[in-house]
Amino acid sequence: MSDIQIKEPLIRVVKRDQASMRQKIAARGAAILLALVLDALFIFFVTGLNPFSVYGVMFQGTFGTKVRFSWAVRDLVSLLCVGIALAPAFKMKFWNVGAEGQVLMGGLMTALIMVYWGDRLPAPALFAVMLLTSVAAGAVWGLVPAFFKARWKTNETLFTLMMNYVATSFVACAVNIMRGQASSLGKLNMGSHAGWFPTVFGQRYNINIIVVLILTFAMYFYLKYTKHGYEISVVGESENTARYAGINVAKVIMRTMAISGAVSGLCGFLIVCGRDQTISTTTAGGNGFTAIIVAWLAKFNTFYMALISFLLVFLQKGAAEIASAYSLNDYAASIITGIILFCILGSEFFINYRVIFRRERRAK
Amino acid sequence: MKADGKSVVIITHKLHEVLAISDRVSILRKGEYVGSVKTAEADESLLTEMMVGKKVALNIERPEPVNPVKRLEVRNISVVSEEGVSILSDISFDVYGGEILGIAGVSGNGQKELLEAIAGLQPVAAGGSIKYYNEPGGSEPPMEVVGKNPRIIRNAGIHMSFVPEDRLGMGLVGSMGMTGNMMLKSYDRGRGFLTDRKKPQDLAESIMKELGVVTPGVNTPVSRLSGGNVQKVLVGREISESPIVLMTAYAVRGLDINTSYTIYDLLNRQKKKGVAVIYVGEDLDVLLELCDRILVLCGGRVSGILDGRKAAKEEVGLFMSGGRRIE
Repeated sequence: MSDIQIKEPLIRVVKRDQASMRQKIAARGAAILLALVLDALFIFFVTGLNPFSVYGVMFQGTFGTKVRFSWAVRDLVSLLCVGIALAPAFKMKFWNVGAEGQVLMGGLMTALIMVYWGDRLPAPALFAVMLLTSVAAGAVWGLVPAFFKARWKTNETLFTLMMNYVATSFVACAVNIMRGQASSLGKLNMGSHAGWFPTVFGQRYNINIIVVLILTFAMYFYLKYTKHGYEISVVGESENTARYAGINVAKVIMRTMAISGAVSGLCGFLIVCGRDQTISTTTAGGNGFTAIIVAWLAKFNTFYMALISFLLVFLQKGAAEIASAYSLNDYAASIITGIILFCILGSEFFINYRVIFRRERRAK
Repeated sequence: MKADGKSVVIITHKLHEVLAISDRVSILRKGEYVGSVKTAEADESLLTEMMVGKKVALNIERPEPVNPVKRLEVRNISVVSEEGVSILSDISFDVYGGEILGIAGVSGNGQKELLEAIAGLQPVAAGGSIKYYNEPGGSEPPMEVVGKNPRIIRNAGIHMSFVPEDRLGMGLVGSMGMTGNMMLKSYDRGRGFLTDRKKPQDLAESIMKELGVVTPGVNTPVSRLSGGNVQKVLVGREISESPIVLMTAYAVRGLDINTSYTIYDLLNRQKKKGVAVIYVGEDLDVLLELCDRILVLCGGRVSGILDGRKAAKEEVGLFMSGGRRIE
């Protein structure tokens, strides 16, 4: 049989059974190294700067000072919180692209109550009401598309996306009413600080960090160990299997989206009370969409989500720092961070697939 | 094409096709070449032995039903699809414990919907009833199945198992391991918010051992297993529920001959335990060898119920294509 000519392609791609931990780390390490080399070439030939000092500056963006680091963590938890909110919906293969609107609705309820009831309610009651209404608003915003999907099989992607625009308009309208004659809304309750989170360990937003940390563990646990989590996995895999098992698919879809929306609403509450103390149409800041990437890359594991959120925030801060330190064009800085992100995402391919070259086989 | 001097290679696991059409047969087993024989010198048992690696008895056992008692009474079942097309009309039959009732029919004549209706997955038109006898002849009245969903059926104490046609799309969760799949029908048992993974894991391990499921581990996603192993996981789980009525749809479709015989054997063992087994199949030879009675469906109606020991293949074929006789 050996004299038979077999034409073998130069490169073949084979799906891996399962990459070992070492292979995964090696692939990602190689990706980062490759990214740094490519970036160095870009920096050197296009901008004429010293790549090493640029990397140093980029690193400074997050780790430069204690305050910068805490800002990075603050932004990280804002993103992570939305990622956690999306995890159950995406695990159920319900493409919730409406987190942006769910966050805004939560933030809006918080802001309204802060402004109109801020001086009427004692602090604990005020926080309780803000928390409950924002969670409820987010849940309703998630529940509406879920209801239509469960009942009439409408497309949830379009529906949740549209709900974002409705929420944005609500916020714009409310902001106009609240600001009155002023040119902009500014911080709410500037005088009394009613409804602002108290300062813990030096920063108001430390409460956000603590809450999101708890949520990270809670959501992981919910998805992995509870009966609800099991139902979500089954519905996500196949609705027929779910029906076969006697799971009420419509109920699971609505319940899960209510939870997803509620956590997004909670995120809006945290942002308004702990970070911004105000509301605007950009309160969610695109996190509702970035979090989709976070949730997908982490395969709905909330701890990986924390890592990926950190990476994204680190890159974003680094890009801003490079742009201001070298008075570079914003786009140049974005290219540098974009190359890093591209290489890391690309390494996923090599983790899932094996590339076999022709020569390798012949030697065997 | 053969007469034209062309080379023709056919790949199949249907032995009688090979024997009927080919001149030489080469056999592969687990990716390795086992050997070639001239078809004229080969017979089914030789080929099977080469495929499996050991001698396999190729006759399906058919013990006499012992003490048949009525377990399921299906009356006037009609099913209309979502598009308004009538799929089943006016189906009535009984199923007894200790027998295998075969259901024959050209694919798509309502077999799937019939089993799904009994399992509570298809809405049944008004006027139909499916009665389940938990304690035949006893004081306990029969239970109505129509109008209940699978979970309510389960919780009502109706011991029905169902091996659906679409194994990974309905019977199992492809991305989960054996353990996760064992939980599918029992995850909601027990109080509290949390799932119990210990018992399903023990069950997964015992099924893996007893049925010889080839898998790297009980947590390897079942979609990565071969078709035969997937079916062993599914049948193993359904049997482990100790059913009183066991329904199977195309239980051996796409399986190699060794696994097929394992499945026949499992069904016979259930039958001997007194389980009422419903076997929807497409291979008439197997139906005639395995089943005590054969119900033939044609165009959504029962065109005949035949005695599996006496019926001839041609007779079944005639009923499948529309002939009618009611015993």
